[in-house]
Amino acid sequence: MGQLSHHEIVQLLLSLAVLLGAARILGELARRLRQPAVIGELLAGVMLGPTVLGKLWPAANATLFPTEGAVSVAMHGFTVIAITLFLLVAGMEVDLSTIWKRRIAAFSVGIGGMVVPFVMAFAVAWFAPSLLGAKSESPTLVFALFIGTAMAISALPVVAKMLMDLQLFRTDVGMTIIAAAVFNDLAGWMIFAVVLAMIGQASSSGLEVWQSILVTVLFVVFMLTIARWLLDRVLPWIQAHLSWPGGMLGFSLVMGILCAAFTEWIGVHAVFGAFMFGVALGDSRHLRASTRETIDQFISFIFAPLFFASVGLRVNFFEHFDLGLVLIVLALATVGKLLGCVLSARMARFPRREAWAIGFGMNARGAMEIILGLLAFEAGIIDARLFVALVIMALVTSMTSGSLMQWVMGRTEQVRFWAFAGPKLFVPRLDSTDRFDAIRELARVVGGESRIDAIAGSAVSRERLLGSGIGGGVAVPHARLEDITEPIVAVGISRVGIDFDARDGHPARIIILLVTPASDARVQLQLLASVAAVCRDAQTVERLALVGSWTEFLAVLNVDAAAARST
Amino acid sequence: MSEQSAVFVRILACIAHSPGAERLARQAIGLAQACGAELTFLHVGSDRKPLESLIASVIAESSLEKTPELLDRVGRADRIILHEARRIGADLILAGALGVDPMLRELWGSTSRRLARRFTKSVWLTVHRGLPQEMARRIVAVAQLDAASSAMVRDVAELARRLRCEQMHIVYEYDPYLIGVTEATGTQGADSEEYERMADAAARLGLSNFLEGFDFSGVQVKAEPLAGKNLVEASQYARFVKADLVVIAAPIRRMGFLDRFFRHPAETVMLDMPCSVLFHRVRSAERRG
Repeated sequence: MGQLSHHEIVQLLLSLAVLLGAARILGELARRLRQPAVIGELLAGVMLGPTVLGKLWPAANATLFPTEGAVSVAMHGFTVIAITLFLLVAGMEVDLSTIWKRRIAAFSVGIGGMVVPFVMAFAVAWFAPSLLGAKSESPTLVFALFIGTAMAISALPVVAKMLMDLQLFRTDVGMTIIAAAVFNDLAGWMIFAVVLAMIGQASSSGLEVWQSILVTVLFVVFMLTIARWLLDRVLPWIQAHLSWPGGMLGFSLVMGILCAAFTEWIGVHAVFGAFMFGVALGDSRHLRASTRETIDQFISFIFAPLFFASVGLRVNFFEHFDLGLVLIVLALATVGKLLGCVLSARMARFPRREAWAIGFGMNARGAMEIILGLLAFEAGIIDARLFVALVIMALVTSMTSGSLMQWVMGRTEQVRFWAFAGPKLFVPRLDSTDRFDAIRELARVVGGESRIDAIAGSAVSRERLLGSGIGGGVAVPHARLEDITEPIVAVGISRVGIDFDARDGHPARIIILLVTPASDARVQLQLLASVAAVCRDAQTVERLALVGSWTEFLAVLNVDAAAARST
Repeated sequence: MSEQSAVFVRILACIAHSPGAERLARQAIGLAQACGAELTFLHVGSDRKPLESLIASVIAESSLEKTPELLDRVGRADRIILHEARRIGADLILAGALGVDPMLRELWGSTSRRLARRFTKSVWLTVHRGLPQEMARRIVAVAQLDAASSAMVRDVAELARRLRCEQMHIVYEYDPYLIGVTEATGTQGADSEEYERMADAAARLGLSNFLEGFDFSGVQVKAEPLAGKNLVEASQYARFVKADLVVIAAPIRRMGFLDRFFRHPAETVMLDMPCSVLFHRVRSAERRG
């Protein structure tokens, strides 16, 4: 006793390997399908858990993922560490100055996204507890408070992962969602601490509820002021005197876990401490990008998939499944959250599209909901049917919110640069060997002799200040004109390559002159994105550089663009 | 000098008994000459005689038409400087940043930082760590592509022309995830290398658009977008190009605790001080306009 047996060690390592392997494979698959990787990782757990593997091959499921015993305890320990470390990374990505810039929106969405679903769910649970399958012996106030909290909470880890996967984390929308989710989580866990206290569950510290809340507030203030200041002074010393990246990685993990232990001790949740430490650490101007990247890679690709996959292992969805209850819970959670967040975001002057993206982003409940449900189930506040309904709601909202966000945000009209070009605007062999001459040569095909000075003048003066080489053998000089309403794009191929002062130092072989209306900055960016997307592949650029006519150029674009879409 | 294009009209130069006093006096006089500005020296403390003779000797070597006044006051330095600056209507305070020991600076604060935070017009903090007498051979102007930066770039270009600076760098530090690439193009899900390349191209485009229409005649200008945040990269860039002046557009208000708490970019540069720093604030007439 006191340590794992030889057999249990083998079993534990095998479980971890299978779980991590499946999570990584399905995560990558989801990414290939342009979905957040977290969806694949959650699905891996569902496949390996009691729902699928447990039904098809119960013995394998029981061997790999036992629900009790030393291996189960060790596995649980791993997943707690995994989610704690993932929240550390999520915290490091939080940009306080951005949140401050969006403070009104973040506060508004945080309040709206909390109050509306809480009030709606509380009212239903208070006036019609049987509709939600309340246990007759459970006090209605406690039950209603729990339901309100369960519907109001957002899953910070899932939201963070989804935003990172979608490259939306540090956008205005992303930062608003994160700031609002932090607020929701904080308030949600506070209310839940009150609920647990009402039924006699207390934190291991023995603190009263008001004391837990006070200590949490003091902890937040400490982390955002003194700890931030200290970290800013300690990091240069660590980076100068300890080995890299081991020293920095070790320091970050030790301190993150210590903070997690502290918040767990005061009864809030371990993830909250790690998250706050991550915020303080990530804010330091001395944290190098490479260090940040190392910590991020180490945790995001190892620990996070492990945790998200483990979520699916916890429940069997076939037993205690009640379709009616699942639909009611799902509707209550989604309608309340969307209503609260979308209205608040609109009031904070977000465009309609982004307001809906915020609503869908905040709707992800994920692991937090499952943890909350599990604690309530163990405390006897809810029965097994409601627990399963909450878990399904958490999974459905987590799995759909990323796709829905992507769908809403992705409905931008796709602009292709070649739609504004043509055979008359194509120069298969540029005579120029100098970038300014090349611009003039392309300006001539756009505007003829009469307008060459206006176009070339604008493009050349911009080029003198800042080279337009975007790397990979491509340059995108640009000019803006007041008197055009549609963009005009001229394409030139240089057989020898022309220096356009690109960051990678490579001479440009494909030169794409963008001439856009002065009043439309968005189309410039869209055309540029279209060029960057097509020319990201070196082989495509190589093929484009060898074409002899516009038709051949178009053929390469169409084939490669289709291939890129299919992958 | 034409009144219309004056960069600074009334300069208050704070001078003390320090190793950098002569350099500061030369710079203040050079700047006042270049801008056609009225110059006033302020000494906080007693014993003005040595400073009087120092200023007189520097003026003798210059072609300044009007001898600047030397004020001397006793009291807390930052309060007196701010009071005198407001009283004489200065639109620039020029002060030395002595580089006190970092630990002492954390404990007691720094007069120069307090000036930069509390004065609502421009503040030039000059360092003199082994630098030549010229004020600004290589200037790095940090633009944020907004109206305040626009006024700053225009003034710095004018200043660079008048001070005959060798090179003016205009850098735009952008956060790759906050420059609207995703929102404008619906490119979420792109791998990070592709995304960063696109963000860099978008930043170049944004900076090019921003710089259109400025008069850079007679000035050697190089523009550069830098991926980063809170001006950490801009500070590094200033060191890399051996700049002797960094100019940033500071908010036209007193900077307070929240600016420090949420790390206003001006605060980062103030803490880092890669070289002399000019906190540029738009003139009141333009603000009203």
